[in-house]
Amino acid sequence: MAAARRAAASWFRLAVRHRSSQSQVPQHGLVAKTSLSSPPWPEVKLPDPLEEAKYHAEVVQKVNEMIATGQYGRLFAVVHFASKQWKVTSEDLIMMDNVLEAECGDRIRMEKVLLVGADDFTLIGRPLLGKDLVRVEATVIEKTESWPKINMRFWKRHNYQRKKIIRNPQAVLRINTIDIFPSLS
Amino acid sequence: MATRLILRAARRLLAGAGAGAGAGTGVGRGAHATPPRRDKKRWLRAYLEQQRLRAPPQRRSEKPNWDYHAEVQAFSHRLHENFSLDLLKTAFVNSCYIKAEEARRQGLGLDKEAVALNLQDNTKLSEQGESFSRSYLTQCFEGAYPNLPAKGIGALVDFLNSQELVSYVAQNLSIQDLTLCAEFPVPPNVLQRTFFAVIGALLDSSGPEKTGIFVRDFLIPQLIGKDLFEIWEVINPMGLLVEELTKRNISSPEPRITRQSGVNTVLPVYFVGLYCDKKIIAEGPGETLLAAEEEAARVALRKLYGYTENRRPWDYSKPKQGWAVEKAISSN
Amino acid sequence: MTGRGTPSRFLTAVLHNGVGRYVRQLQRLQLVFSPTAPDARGARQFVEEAALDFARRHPGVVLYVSPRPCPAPLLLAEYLNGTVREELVASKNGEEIARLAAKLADQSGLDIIRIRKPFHTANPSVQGQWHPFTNKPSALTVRGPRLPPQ
Repeated sequence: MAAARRAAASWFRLAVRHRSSQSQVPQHGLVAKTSLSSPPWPEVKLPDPLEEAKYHAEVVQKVNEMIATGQYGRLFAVVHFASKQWKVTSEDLIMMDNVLEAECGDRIRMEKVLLVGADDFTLIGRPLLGKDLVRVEATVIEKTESWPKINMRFWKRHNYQRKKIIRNPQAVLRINTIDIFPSLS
Repeated sequence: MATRLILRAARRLLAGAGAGAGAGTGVGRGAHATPPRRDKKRWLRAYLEQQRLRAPPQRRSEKPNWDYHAEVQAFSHRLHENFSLDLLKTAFVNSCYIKAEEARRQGLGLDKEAVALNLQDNTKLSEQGESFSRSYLTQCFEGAYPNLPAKGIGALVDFLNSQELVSYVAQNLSIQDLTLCAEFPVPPNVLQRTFFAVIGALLDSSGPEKTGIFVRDFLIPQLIGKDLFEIWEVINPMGLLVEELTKRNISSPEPRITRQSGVNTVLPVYFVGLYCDKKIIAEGPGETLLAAEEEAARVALRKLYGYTENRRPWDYSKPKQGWAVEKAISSN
Repeated sequence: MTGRGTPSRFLTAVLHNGVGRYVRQLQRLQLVFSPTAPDARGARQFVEEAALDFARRHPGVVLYVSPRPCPAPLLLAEYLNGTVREELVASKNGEEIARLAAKLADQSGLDIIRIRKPFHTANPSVQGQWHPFTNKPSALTVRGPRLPPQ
C-alpha cells in the first residue's frame, strides 16, 4: 500500500516536471504565469565555484590570523557530556544525572567538543573538533543526590498502591577554561 | 443520672479517707491515687521542637564538640594554604574580644596580672591584608583592563573590598565561627577585619605570590555576572563618553533613532545608534528616547573600556607574573 | 508533587566554588552514638575501622566522635554556608556509614530540592542576544523604490 502511494507520488512529480518543461520550451507566450509554470521565488543563482573557493580561503585565513593573534573574547563550546549536548562557556555550571567516577575537586577534560565559537567566528566539528584544537576543562564541584522523587502507583477500588522513593546520584561541574590551540597559548 | 454522680463523689471521698488512713499506716499508695497516663504524649515532640526554635542562637563554640585548635588547622587545610598557625590564631583575635574578656575577668575579681590576656589582636594584620588586597587588585585590573580609567578601577576595587561583599565571603568560609568577638552574631565590620587579617596572616606566612592567588580566587569571582555600571555608578554616561572620545580625538557622537516599534503604545521601544564620522559605534535600546540614548552611551563606554559582556574571561589558571606582586609590595 | 507544588531552586555553588580553587564545603562532622546500644554497633565499627581513614582523607573536615547515651546514633554534618544536616545511622553497618560520610563530604550544603535547570550561566550569549530586530534593516537605511515584480 505504502509502496503504491510512493510510486503514485513520484509519478505525479514526474508529470508536473514534464508538463512545466514541456510548456516552457515551445510556446512561450501562450501559457499563463502560475506557480506551476515558474516558481514564485526569484531564481537562485549559485556562486561560481572558483570564486567561492577563493572567498573561503580568505575567510579561513582571517580566522586563523585571529586565533593566532588571540583577537577573540569569550569562547563558548558545545560539548557532548553525559549523553547530552551542553552549550557551555567558562565559569558555567552543569549538572549531570548520574554517578561520576572522578573525585570532588578533580579537573577533567571534556574531549568531545562539537563546536567552539567566539564573537566573530565559529569552528564547527564534523562531528568533533580535534583534541589539539580545543581544550575544555571542568572541575567536579559536588557529588550529591537528587531530591526524593515519589513514584506512586495507585489502582482505585482494588486495594493496590505501591510507593517508591527514588533519588538518583548527581554531579555538578564547573567549566574552568575553553582554549583554542592550547599548544599555541 | 444524679444518683450516679452522687455515688461517684462519695466513692472519691471514701478513697481519700482510705488514703489518709493508709498514710497513717505508712505503706499506702499516697498521692498517686490515679495511675500514670499510658497514652502517647503527642504534644511533647512538637513542644520540644518549638522550644528549640525559640531558643536564642548560640555561638558554635558554646555548643558541644568544639576543638579550637583542630578547627583552625582544618581551616587552613580546607583553603589549601600553609598558614603558620600562630599567625592564623592571632588573625582571629579581635580587639573587642580582648576588651570584653578582660572586663569579664575583672568582674570575677581576679588580680591585675591574671586579668591581662597575653594575646595580640589582629589590627596590624588586618591593615596589612587590606592594603595588600587593595594594591594587588588594582594591579590586576590595571593589567587586565588597560583602557579603564582610574576611577573605574577604583570603583571595582572598592566594590571587592566593601564591607558587604567581604563579610559575605567571610561568612561563606565560616570565619564567623572561628573569630573571637565580643558580640554575637558577629557584626559585618568585624568579619571584614578578620578576613583581611587572614589575608595578612597568609602574607606573612607564605609570601605575596600565594596571597595574591588567594585574593584572586576568593574575591575576583564575585565579579561574575556583574555589569561594570552596576558597580561603578555613572550618572551622566553621555558626558563621560564625549570626554573619552575627545581624549582619543574622535568627533563627538551623533545619536540617531535606528529602529522603533510600538511608538503609540504603552510599551514603546527605541533603538538609538551613536554615530561618529558616519560610522556606528554603539546601539542601545530603551523605552524612551532619553533612556535609549543613555543605554547606547553605556554600550559605547563598555566597548571603549574593554569591559563588554563577551570579553575574555578572567584567567584563573596560572599564577600571575611576578611583577604585579612585587609592585604591590613596593607600594605597601 | 513534581510541578509547582514542590520547593525548587536553580543550580548554584557557594562562593562560585571551583572558579578559582575547589573548597570542600563540609567543615565539621560529628558522630554521636551510644557506647552500648545494639543499634549503634555499626557506628562503633566505623569509629574503629574507617574513622581514621576518613579523617586522613579529608584534612579540611573536623571529625568529632562522641560516645554518649543517646536515643539513636547520628551523623551531624555542618557545612560552610551554615547548613546542618542530621543523618540517622541506626542499625547501619560500618561500611554504609563510611559511604554516607563520604557522600556528606562531597555535598555542598545547599538545599536538596528540585533543581529547575541542569545548567547555570552568567553569560547566556557570546555572539549577541537575539531580539526581534536582529537581521532586520534599520530605519536609517535608505530604501529605493520597490522594484516591480518581474
